[in-house]
Amino acid sequence: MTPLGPVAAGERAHLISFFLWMLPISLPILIGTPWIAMRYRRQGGKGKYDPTWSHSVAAEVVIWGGATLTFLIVGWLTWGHVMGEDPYKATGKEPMHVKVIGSEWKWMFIYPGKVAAVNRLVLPENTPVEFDITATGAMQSFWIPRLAGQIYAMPGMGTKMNLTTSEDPSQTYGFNSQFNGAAFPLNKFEVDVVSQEQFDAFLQEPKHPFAQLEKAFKKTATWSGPELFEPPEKGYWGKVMMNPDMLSDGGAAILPDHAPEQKKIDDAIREELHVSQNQHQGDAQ
Amino acid sequence: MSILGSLDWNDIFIVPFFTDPSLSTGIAAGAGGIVVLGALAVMVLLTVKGWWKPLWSNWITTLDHKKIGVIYIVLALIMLIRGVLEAVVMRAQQVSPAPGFLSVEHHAELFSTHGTIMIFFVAMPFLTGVINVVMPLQIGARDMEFPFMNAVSLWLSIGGAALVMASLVVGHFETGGWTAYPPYTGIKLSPNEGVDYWIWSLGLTSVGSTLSGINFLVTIYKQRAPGMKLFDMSIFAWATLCTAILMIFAMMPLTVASLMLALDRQAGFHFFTATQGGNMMNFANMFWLFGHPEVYILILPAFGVFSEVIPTFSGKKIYGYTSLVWATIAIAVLSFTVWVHHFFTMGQTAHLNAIFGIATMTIGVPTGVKVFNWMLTMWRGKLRFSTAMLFSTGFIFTFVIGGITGVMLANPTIDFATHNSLFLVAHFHNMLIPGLLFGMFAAVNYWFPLCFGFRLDEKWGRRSFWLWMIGFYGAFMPLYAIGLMGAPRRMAFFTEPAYFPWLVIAMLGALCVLAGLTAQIIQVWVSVKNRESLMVPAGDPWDGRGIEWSLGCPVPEYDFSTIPAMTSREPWVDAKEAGKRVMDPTEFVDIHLPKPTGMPFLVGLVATLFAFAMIFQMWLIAAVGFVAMWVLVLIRSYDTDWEETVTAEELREGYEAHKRVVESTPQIRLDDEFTTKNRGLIMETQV
Repeated sequence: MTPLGPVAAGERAHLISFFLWMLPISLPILIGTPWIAMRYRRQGGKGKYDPTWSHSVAAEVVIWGGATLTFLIVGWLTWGHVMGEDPYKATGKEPMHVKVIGSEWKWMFIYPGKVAAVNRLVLPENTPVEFDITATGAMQSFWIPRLAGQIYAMPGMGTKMNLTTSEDPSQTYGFNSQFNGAAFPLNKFEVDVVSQEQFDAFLQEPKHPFAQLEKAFKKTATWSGPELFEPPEKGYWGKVMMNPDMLSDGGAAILPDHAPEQKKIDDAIREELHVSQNQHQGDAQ
Repeated sequence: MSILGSLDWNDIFIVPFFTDPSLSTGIAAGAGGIVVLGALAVMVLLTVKGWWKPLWSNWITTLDHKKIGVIYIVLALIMLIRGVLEAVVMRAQQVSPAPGFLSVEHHAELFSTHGTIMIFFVAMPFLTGVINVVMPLQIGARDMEFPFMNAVSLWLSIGGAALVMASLVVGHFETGGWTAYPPYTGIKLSPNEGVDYWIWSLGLTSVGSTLSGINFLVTIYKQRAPGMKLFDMSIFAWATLCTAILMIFAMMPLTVASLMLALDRQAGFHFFTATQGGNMMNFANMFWLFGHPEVYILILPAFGVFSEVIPTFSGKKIYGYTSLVWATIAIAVLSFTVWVHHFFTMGQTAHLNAIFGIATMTIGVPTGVKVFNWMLTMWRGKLRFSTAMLFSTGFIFTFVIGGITGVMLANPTIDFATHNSLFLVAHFHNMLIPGLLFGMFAAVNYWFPLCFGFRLDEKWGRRSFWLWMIGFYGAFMPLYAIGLMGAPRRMAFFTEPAYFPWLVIAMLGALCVLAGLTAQIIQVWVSVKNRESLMVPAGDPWDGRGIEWSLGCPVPEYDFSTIPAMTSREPWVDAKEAGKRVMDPTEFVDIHLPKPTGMPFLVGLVATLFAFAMIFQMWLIAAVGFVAMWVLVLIRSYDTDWEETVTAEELREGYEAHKRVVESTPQIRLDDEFTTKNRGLIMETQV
């Protein structure tokens, strides 16, 4: 849990604060249970025995009152957290827009009018970003743990996620966390947060024609081809959202019936693991 | 289309191993082989021992609620063995060098069957079984209101479980997890029969559970002993009442959602297909409209068990009866208001998320109150740590950790960072293992003598507790840790080196749980072997408080020779305090009990045949099975000769016999409770 951006940092702070707020109610149980068990044990216990003691107004008030008070506090905090960190709310003025399309087992990122990328997300440092997310094929969950929480990517649906990138250049990864078939463990992408100059240079990198991407994206299960392409026409993401089948035939998801894809996926898994043996995978968050 | 529908040779468990030999297909073939050989071994045993006939006449055709309960629990234990073994295989997969010995798909089948089995074929039959045994005895009833329907529910559940077992031998199970979200589980992305196995095994068992819920509820409303008001009932009966209401209302969305998925898959409907105007989000919505109340269906009966076990082994009246009852009712009501928290990440507005997050936290209030009530019941008691009491105390301690993480997950902003992660997996196991399994284990250890007349071995019971407890912490605390590091659930392998040590600990924990389960099997074995010395014919081996303990062990088929007079909330405690060792009889009258019948078994059999035919699209066989099912029910409905009489004289004899046993049983001290001196009816006040 080492966040790179303010959204993930906020999530971690909430996690810690909730943990602490739960202590006043959970510590008495965690300490009290073994203590009562020792003190009131039949053989050797020192506690007083009172077999008919079964009600105490004071205890009722403390129990119901304490639980309710804790609830009111965490409920109040929740309201603040949720309103403050609505993933639909931009994290700054004029966020950069990235359109996301998830598919079996790859991600397409469209920087409108600039570039389209596969499995590679490059973002300028210290910049608010808004993702528009959809999917083809199965449902996925778009997640960059060290920058922000996750939002589902669903065919026929559009969702949004906002975040601000890290203050300095950094490298991390994102992935799909919703199981979607045979190459699920490979369903991830690199995230590079770079300086503004590097980002401008990235946009200038040589690109392949989009038609090539569209054709290959539909056919390929796991992506090993080029990463950068010309951007599609305006409104392309919206069209895919409304008609996910145009980018997916979905058939690669189930293997026993698709032996050729199975082999390709096996190879991809092996290749991935070979790489991982030689190259450090990045530290745990 | 052939009469065998989509079934072909490749669906037989052993074939893929020969066409494509690998460790993964080998394990699949081995698992199928265990099922087939296990079934054969049971048949051989039954034949050699000549047990077919007693099995049929004493168990399969029984309508006795206690025996039905026992069969439910046996079903749950068999499925529990499979579920735990699957968990161990998955843990082993994740510590073996990536990509492990299982294919991603095979691993997916494992976590899908593990989840489906643990919820629907371990947890549900377990609690249904315990309720079946105990609840009528606690309200002074002679049976369920609808004994025939009770047996039909049982055989439908067994049919569902049989289908999940069959998926090891014929074809595949689904790979989309126990929640089976479309579109992944749609016909396009999951073209094989796996999802249909899920749909129809759940279909059978969810109908069974709905019927059980109706049965429990009507039994409580109509069959309570005269004079017993609702607020005189035991906490366990209250828990059953609330569970039954949840069962009736919560199972239906599941049945509907899974049938809609079946229509999508096999009849070209588009309820959940985005491109054809359907909406997959509605599946998640309906599934959790079932799924969240389901959580409380699972947990409330266990809460009821703890509320019986803790006072008994504390030698003390339960603390805060009224508080506990209202807390139970509050949980039951609130459980219907929180289901959206299962998909905070589906992109709804922040207001909706916040409201459902806060609603979720409200459940923490009555749950917290209950925990403190149990602690205050132990306070000023004299605690005896029997196996049942150990499981109850272990529950209180461990459940709190799940409670903390539950409130954390209820905050949507935290959920964004932990949804679909191993943190979530650790959380719900933290709720269900102590909150459900520990409760059920406590129930079995506590109430076992009612059904069989002897106690379970305490030594092996305590060993099993410690192994389960340590195993639980070992298996799931590491998952909290790597979940927070960002490890998603349902991964076939991890390439992250930082996770590895944690996964090894989790693996050891899973093995420890397996050892705990083994200890329980040994416990039953040892107890059956030593049953003569563990007999408690006088009943009430633990100085219990409920009226079920006023009966001899094992309890006769008619339960009560006379319906007990309800003078207070705890008439049996009153009687014992007045120096009596047998409750005074009220009035001996002729009673009617339902005759044993093989009809529920046959209904279950043809229903299972129907479901199996639906899975493999054998439409003709399916139609025959469906019609046969209803014809059988109709035939039974016109049967007027279904009761047999137990005369008042027989009941009086039963009563006198019990009294003689009690009078000839020497009184001993509570300190000798777990020794062979305990022949029943220990009384603290007498010594």
